Amino acid sequence: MAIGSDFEVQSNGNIRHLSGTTVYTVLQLHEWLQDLADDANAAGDDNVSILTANPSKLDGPRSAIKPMILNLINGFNIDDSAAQYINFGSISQDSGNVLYTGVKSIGSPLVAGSPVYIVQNASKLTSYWADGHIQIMVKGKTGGALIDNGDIRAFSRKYGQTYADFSANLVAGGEQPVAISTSVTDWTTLDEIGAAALSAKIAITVGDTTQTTGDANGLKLYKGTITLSGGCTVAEAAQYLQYICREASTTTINGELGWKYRTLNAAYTPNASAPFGIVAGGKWFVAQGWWIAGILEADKQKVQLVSHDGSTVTYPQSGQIAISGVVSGTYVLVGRDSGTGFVTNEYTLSGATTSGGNTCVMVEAIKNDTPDTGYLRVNGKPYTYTAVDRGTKTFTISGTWGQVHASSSPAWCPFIDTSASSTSISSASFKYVSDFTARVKARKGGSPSSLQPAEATFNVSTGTSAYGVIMNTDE
Amino acid sequence: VLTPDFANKVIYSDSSITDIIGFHGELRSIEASDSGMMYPTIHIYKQVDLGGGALFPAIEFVNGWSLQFPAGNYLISGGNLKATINPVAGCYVMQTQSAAYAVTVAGESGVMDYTQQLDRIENMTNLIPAVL
Repeated sequence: MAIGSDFEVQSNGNIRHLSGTTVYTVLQLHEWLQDLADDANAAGDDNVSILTANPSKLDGPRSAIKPMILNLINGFNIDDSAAQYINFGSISQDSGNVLYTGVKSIGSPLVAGSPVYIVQNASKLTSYWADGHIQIMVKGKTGGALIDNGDIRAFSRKYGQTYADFSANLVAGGEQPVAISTSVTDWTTLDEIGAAALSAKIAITVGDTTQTTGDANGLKLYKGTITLSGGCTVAEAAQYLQYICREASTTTINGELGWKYRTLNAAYTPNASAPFGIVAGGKWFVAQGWWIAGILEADKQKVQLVSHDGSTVTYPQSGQIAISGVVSGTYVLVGRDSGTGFVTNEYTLSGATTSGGNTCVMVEAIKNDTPDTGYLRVNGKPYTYTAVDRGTKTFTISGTWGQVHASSSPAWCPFIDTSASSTSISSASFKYVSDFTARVKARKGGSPSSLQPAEATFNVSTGTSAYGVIMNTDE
Repeated sequence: VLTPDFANKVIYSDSSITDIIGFHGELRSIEASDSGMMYPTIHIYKQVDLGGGALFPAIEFVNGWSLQFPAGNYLISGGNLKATINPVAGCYVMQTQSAAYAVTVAGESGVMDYTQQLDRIENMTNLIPAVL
C-alpha cells in the first residue's frame, strides 16, 4: 500500500509520517496496520508483524462510509505531524490519554478558496490545510487532559466575504462537523487598504452608556460606543469594523483579538457573518450593545441598533427642506401653509419676554417636527433660537430680546427665514411626523438686481423635500 | 425715503418720485426685508424697451397697498405708476405718465383723472397693455 511508503512504524510503536502529501483515512491506517500485523515478520521500516503486539482496534463496526473511531494500543501512537495526513475519524492512543478527533466543515454556499481556521484554547492553530472546506484531525486531549474541555471553534473570516464560525466538541471522537458558509459581501466596497485607513476616524470604547435616538424606546443602555468622526459614514464604519475582525486582524476589541471577536457581551447572540453587524439594503444592522456616536445626520436612517436589553432602536425619520433656484441675497421664508399665507400662530407666549432675557415659554406643546435649532418669529419679529426644551416648552434665542413681547403674543417657527448665500438654501433637519404643506416666499430686492418675487406651496415629507422656485428677471 | 406701514399696507414717501426704476428697487427691498417677507408683495413692475437705450418703466401697486405723501407738493415722473394715492390735506401730487410725458395734476384730494389719462396713453403707445 502507498501508505506504507508514506509512513513508518518504529520499533517503539511510533507511527510517523515520512513523505508524501496523500491524506489517508483512519480506516486506511487501521487496515494498513492490521495488514502488517498478520505478516510473519516485520519488514523494512514497518516494525509490525504477528510477532509484535496488536497495533490497533476499531470501536464499532468497520465502515468505509462512516468516520471510524480507532484506538492505537500497546504503545503504538501517532504524533501531530502524522495526524496531518490522516482524517475521517478519530484516533485514541496512550490508553486514552491522547485523542485526535476528526473535524469536517460543511455548508453551502462557500466562496471558493474561503480560508478556514481553528481556534482552540484561545489560540489559532497553525494551518496546514488548504483553503476551502476542511476535513482534518485536531488533538482534543493530551496527557490525559482535555484541551479547553475539548472545545474548538472553526472560523472563516476573509474580508470581502461574509464571515462564519461554528463550535464543536472533540470529546466524543469520530468526526465532528462544523457548519461554515460564506458569500461575497456587496457592502465591502473598500479594499483592505482603504478600510484600514479609516482607523483614524473610528474609535471603539467599551463601557456602559445610556443613550436615546429620540425614538419611542427612549433612553437605553448600551455596553459600548463606536465613535465616528471626520465625516465617516456608517457604510465606511461597517466596513472598517468588518475589516478588523478578519483572520489576520491584530486589533483588540474588548480585550479580544479581532480574528476571534464575536460579540460585545456573552449574553448576546453573535452575528457570525459580521461581528459588528451586517449591511443590507444600505442599512447597517449594528450588533447588539453598540451605540454609534458622531453619526452623520444624513446617515441616521441607515442604521438600526439593538440596545443591551435587546430592543430594536432606530432614529426617527427626519425631514429637511431645501429651496433652490434662488440667487445670493435672496430672502427666503418657508413655513407651514395656512392656505393663504403662513401659519403664524403656532404658539402663544405664556408670559411676556423680559428685557435682556433670551428665553420664551409657550402655551402650546412644541411640535415634534419643529427643528431643534432654527428660526422663531414673535409678533412677526424674526429671531433665531439655539435650543428648544420641549418639556418646558421653552425656546432659547440667540442674543437677547430687542424688545419686550407681551404675554399671549403669537409666535411661529419658520423652517427657513434668512437670506440665501448661494443658489440654494436648506432648513435644519427636523423629526418627521407627517406630511404637511409648506409655503415658500423668495424675494430679492435692490436696484437694479431685484428679481420678481416668487411664492409657492409644496409638500413636505420624509428626507429632503426640495423645491425649486422660479425667480424671473424683474423687468 | 420710503417708509412701509405693513399693518395698513401703506408706503409713505417724504419726497417726490422722479425715478420710477429706483422707486421700484426700493419697493422690492421693502418686500424682501425680514418684516416685508411676512406680507404680500407691494407692486408689480414692467419695463418696455423703447430702443436707443431708453426704457419705459411702469409700476402697479397690488394686494391693497397704497401710496401716501405728507402735506406739500410732489411730482411723480419717469414712468407710469398705477397706485391709490391716499388723500391728505394740503398734499398736491403731480403725476406724469407715459412715454409722451402726459401730465396729470393731483389736487387736494389726491390723484385726479388717472384712469382716463392712462387709457389715453395706452391707445397712443400701444406698448404697455400687458402690464396694466
